[in-house]
Amino acid sequence: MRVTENGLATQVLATISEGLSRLMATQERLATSKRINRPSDDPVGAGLVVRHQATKAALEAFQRATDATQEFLGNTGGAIERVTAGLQQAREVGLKGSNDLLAPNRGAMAEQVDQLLEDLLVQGNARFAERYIFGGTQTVTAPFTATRDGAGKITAVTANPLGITGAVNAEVAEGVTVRSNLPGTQVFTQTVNLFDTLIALRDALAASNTAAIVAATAALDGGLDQATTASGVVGVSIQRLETVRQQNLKDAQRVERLRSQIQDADIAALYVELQRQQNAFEASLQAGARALQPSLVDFIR
Amino acid sequence: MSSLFGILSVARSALQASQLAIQTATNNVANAGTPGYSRQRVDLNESLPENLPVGQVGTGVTVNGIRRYRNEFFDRQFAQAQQALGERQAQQSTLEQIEAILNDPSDQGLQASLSRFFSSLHDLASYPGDLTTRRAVLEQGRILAGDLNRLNSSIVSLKRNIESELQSRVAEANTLLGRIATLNGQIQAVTVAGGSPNALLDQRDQALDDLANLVNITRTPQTDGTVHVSLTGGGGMLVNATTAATLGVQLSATSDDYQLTLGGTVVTPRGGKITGLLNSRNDPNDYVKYAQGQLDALTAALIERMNRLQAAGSGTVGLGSAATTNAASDPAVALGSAGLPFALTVPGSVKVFVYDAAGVVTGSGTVNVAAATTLNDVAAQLGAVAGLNAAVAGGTLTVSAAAGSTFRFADDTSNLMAALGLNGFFTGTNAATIAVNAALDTDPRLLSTGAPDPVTGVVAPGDNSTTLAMARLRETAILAGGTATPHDFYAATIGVVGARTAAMNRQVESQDLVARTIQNQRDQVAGVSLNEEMTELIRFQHSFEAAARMIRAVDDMLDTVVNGMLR
Repeated sequence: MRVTENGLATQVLATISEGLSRLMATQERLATSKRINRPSDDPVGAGLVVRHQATKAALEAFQRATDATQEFLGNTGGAIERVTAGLQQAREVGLKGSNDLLAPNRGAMAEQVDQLLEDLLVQGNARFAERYIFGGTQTVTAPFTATRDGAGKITAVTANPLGITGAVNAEVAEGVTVRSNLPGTQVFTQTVNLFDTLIALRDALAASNTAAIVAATAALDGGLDQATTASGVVGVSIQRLETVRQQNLKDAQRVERLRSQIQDADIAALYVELQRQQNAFEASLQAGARALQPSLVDFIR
Repeated sequence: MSSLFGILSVARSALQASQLAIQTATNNVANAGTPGYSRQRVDLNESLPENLPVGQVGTGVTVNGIRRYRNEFFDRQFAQAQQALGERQAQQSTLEQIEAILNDPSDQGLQASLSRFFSSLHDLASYPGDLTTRRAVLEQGRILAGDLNRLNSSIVSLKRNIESELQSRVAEANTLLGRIATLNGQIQAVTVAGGSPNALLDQRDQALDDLANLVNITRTPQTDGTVHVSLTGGGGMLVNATTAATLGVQLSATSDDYQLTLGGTVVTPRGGKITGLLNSRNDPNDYVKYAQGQLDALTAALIERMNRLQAAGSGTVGLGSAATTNAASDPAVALGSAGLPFALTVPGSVKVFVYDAAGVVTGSGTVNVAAATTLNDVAAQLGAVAGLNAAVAGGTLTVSAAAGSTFRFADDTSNLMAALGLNGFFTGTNAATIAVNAALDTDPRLLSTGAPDPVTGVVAPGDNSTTLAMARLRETAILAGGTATPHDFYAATIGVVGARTAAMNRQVESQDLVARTIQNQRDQVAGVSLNEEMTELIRFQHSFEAAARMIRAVDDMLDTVVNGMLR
């Protein structure tokens, strides 16, 4: 094979250039710690990484939604607890009031129940994050309005005519939607109208009507059951959300691990590769120098 | 009869031959690095012998010419390799630039933008009445629209760059064609006169090699030394002896394609950088058009779905007035043929409710959309609702409520709102034109989070059903005929671009190796080896010395004859 200086030079240049471009690729991977720096580095992997990044962002959004819903439900539960406490106090007052021996105190007891009634109304119109908790989807209008007599005492409580049962939902995991609010009716008016019951008890105490007092106190039992059931529903929801949150955390970790496996570079392996390529490159430079330099001209005197 | 003067002339021919050989060797050495140079050797032949009674006696050496070492077969193969390499290199360059424009996977690419937009909607779902979360959604929407605009303009820029590179390559080709034609003329003159125009042939071959890199050519050598050059595949004559045709490049009158013209007629070249550039520019399923098409499809689907949800939803305040942003070509023509960007579902309907200043429903109506409904019909139906005015100007419909009233749309089963661009989230129809509806920027309370009750029109401020539906678009199959979610679609696009670029990289690499191998083979025949030239130098130098010695010997002999023989 006839070899010319040009041919030799072209080959040496080409091999040096190849060696350098391999070194350049390894350097890029080491510098960015990523195996995939552009889609063509690993087309299938690149598509998967994009997918995983999107899933991770979605999981973070789900987690925030779970947090917000848990907080909202927690506040709802707290309000229901206060309602339950108030109802228990009213029931005790009612029991005492049924005792004719304590009849002289019935006036004071009526005042006490009136106070509990006002509290109940306040709880019914409780707010959190600038929303009425028990308003359903009508969150800017107070769900319960009181009609008062001339002395300022509540005579009746009516619910918002636009309805307070609307559902506010939250998406807490892919395809998983939970209801984040409890309709006011479920706590306050569903089977037993708590307001009406307390109004009846107060009026019965004020009128010292033993039979009515007993009847109202008995109705309060039903009201307590209603509140406790509602509290149970909220508790179950919060529990479920806790499970979802744990699952989301696990999913986020799993997706991150998948992404890392595809996209992140194995630094140790790259260092070995870098060393190997460097050796090869230096060898090619040396060989090129040895091949290019000598010619017949050196030896002709 | 041999004569002393005859011997002198033999020696003289030897001197001349050696001198010529050394000059040729020196020329080879001088041109060792000249691109396209083919080494030359003197072609020595024994001179015609003279017939003497003793037999034929040699009369010296004749230089028949200077031979040029060149293998035509390798030349043709080299041109073939060059045009394949050139085509792929041009295509590789385009694909690499598209990869760089898309810039994914990364934290700054379109995927991150999309994710942040949908996440902001998710956050709004948790706090639908909050002005801060509303503004966050609009801001993320603005950023997403900006990113899509930017990607689009980068791709358009790339298109323009390809076009201007096409123009300069074609200009380069024309210069080469001119040079080949001139060289043809010069070579023809020398060949006809019997000479061998080695340097001119080298120059012409170099020009042909350069041309092959630009576009695939077929060369047909003629007997008079000229070469006819034509486009491979019957595209037309580029150089006919001394006449060079002119290549041009133009935008097609009927489609968004660039075309190569030869003397004014459109031709389809094969191979070479010019073909590679044309493919990058024109291929409807690959390169720039693919990237732009995918972006536009993603954008259009997003716009249509978001607008549909926004238009038939309810914000915390109703609309005072709204105008369509997608103009109809003719308000008296059926909407399906009025050039609207999205299709209508017919028969369908849209409800509209009118509210007083306290938010109580004071009027309602239904707009029925059938196959023959025109924009004027829609305006008439809206105008018939108590408290609403509707006017058509040009192809735009403007709806407004009487002073103190507001209105909302609900329950759109016809897709009319999105098609007309009425009360939408985005304005525009593709990646170049997408922007957030300015009306929402002015009053973020108009951003729909819930939806009016389709029967009563009652609006609940805590209702987040529309926002949840908007956030769910992230995982809804709204692309590729209902088979891919936005993220799937985009991930698939990245994968396809990556696969094509990787494949083109491999092709360039292997074609480069082929080209180099052939170049090596060419070089073996035509290249200058300094060692060889040194050897030739020594050989002919000795030859020259020996011939000179002969002359001295003959000179002595002559001296003996002239001066020594006769006293």
